Amino acid sequence: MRESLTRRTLNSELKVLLAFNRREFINYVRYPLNPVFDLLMEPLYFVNWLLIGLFYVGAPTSTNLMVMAGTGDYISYLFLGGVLMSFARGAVDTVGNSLRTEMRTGTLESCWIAPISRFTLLTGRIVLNLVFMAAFNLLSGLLIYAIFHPVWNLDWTALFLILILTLLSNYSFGILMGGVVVIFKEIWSFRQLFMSALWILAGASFPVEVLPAWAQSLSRIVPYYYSLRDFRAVVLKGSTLSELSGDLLLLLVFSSVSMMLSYALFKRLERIAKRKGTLGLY
Amino acid sequence: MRPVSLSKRSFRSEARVVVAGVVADLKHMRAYMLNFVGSLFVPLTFLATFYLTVSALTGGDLSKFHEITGSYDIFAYMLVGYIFTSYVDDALFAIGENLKGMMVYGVFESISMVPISRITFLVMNTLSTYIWTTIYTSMILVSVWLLFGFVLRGNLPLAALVIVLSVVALYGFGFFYAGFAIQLKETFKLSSTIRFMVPIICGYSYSIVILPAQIQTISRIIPLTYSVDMMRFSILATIPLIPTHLELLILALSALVFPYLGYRTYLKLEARARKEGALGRY
Repeated sequence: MRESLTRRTLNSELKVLLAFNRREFINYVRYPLNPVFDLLMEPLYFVNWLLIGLFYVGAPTSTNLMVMAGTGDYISYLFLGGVLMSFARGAVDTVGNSLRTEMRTGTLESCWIAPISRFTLLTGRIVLNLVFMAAFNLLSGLLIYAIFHPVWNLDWTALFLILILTLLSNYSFGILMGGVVVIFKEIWSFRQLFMSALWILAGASFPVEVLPAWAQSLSRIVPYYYSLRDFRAVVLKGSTLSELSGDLLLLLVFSSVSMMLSYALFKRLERIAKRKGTLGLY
Repeated sequence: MRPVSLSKRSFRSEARVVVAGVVADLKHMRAYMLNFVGSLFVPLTFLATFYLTVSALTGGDLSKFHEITGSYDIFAYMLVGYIFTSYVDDALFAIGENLKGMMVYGVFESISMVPISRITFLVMNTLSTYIWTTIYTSMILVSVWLLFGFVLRGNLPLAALVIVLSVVALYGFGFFYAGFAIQLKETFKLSSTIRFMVPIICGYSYSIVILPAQIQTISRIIPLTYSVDMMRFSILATIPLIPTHLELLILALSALVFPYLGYRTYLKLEARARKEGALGRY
């Protein structure tokens, strides 16, 4: 029996996912210097923070960070924060950018009426970014390891689990950005602002204890706060999954809640755009 | 009265084009309100992240920082670096990014045929960028005054002179980058990489004396290193890298030579693109 073209199946969703990522890949390698610059960019980001640390602290370890976070190795501390947040940034940027590109090229409405789930439409392109980010971060990690010989406990199962749970948050924030793009179109600086707020509240480059009390309370509802805490605990202190189970549960809860809220908000914003007839505008 | 030919260039026609360019940009900004509002707060979050990270790493022990710079004021040090970066970024990238925007919207060929000088054509769109950078800078200064009671002191006319000389010198690179944008089409990654590399090499967030000797040699060849150093000297009376009169001389010479070289290069690259018929492509 032949399947209807308008009927959604797992197979059709996977086909779309593949098509989206294939197209993104073609666009990416169409400008051959892109991969070269990306390869340079990620390590440069860490070099910048490393030099800032060396300039202000004067040594590769920080006594104050030792007191606050239980590790003085700020190179690893900043690196791990950067790694986890790069996945978040990648997801938020990819959804925002790709929808903007669809708007500019006039293909958004056609994509919108394709018989695929909104989830796939919005987040389908994140997969390729995820692969690239993983590769770039791995490379940066190897460089840092080769240069500074930090003491890292690489419990891959624990790290993978934390990343998977964090991925849920990445997707939810990506979907949220999709809704905002549909209404406000150009949101480059809003995205920056949003990611900066997440960076600060999650404590990506410093322990959240340096924040005022009200901001620390806000941190507790940001999923990345838990992922970063656990990610660092595994790598820098050798914590096990059972020790982190409470945090992981909270991470799962907050990631799921943020996913539901983001999706609900997206649907609302999409409805507004449809009612106003502004979906195709840019 | 004899009517003026529309194809005849005059000071008035050039001024009209500049005003039209600024008005078009302002309209563009107004059309994306969320983007505009977001951009007002992005600088504050960057500064906050930076300040919180350095605070967490140093815990208030600024002896190393004082030893290198002769100052204890890390906030002013960061602020000066940030303000400098904003203006410098405009000069470096605004022209190229604008040309790329024109290519994407398909108006580049028509605008490039308008009877105005090439300099006006290239510079017109950067003026609105400077207007906004000045607004953001003022906003940052007011915010840090309100939040921390911080007021920018020191030799402000000298600081302004340093910014003006640096911006004029960097227009040279801006022209070159614009030519490169016409040739290469996709320059986002290139500009992002340069945006990361220049601050690292020229020491926007720290003094270059902490860099390895080989990198320092490169830093000392680039006039931007002296710009940011002079800026800090003028506001914070930090220890300069070389005598300040020499730094000023380097900046003045750069302001004379680089725009000329950059402009000649742009004309060559544009001519090549015309010959190849690649102006309208992106």
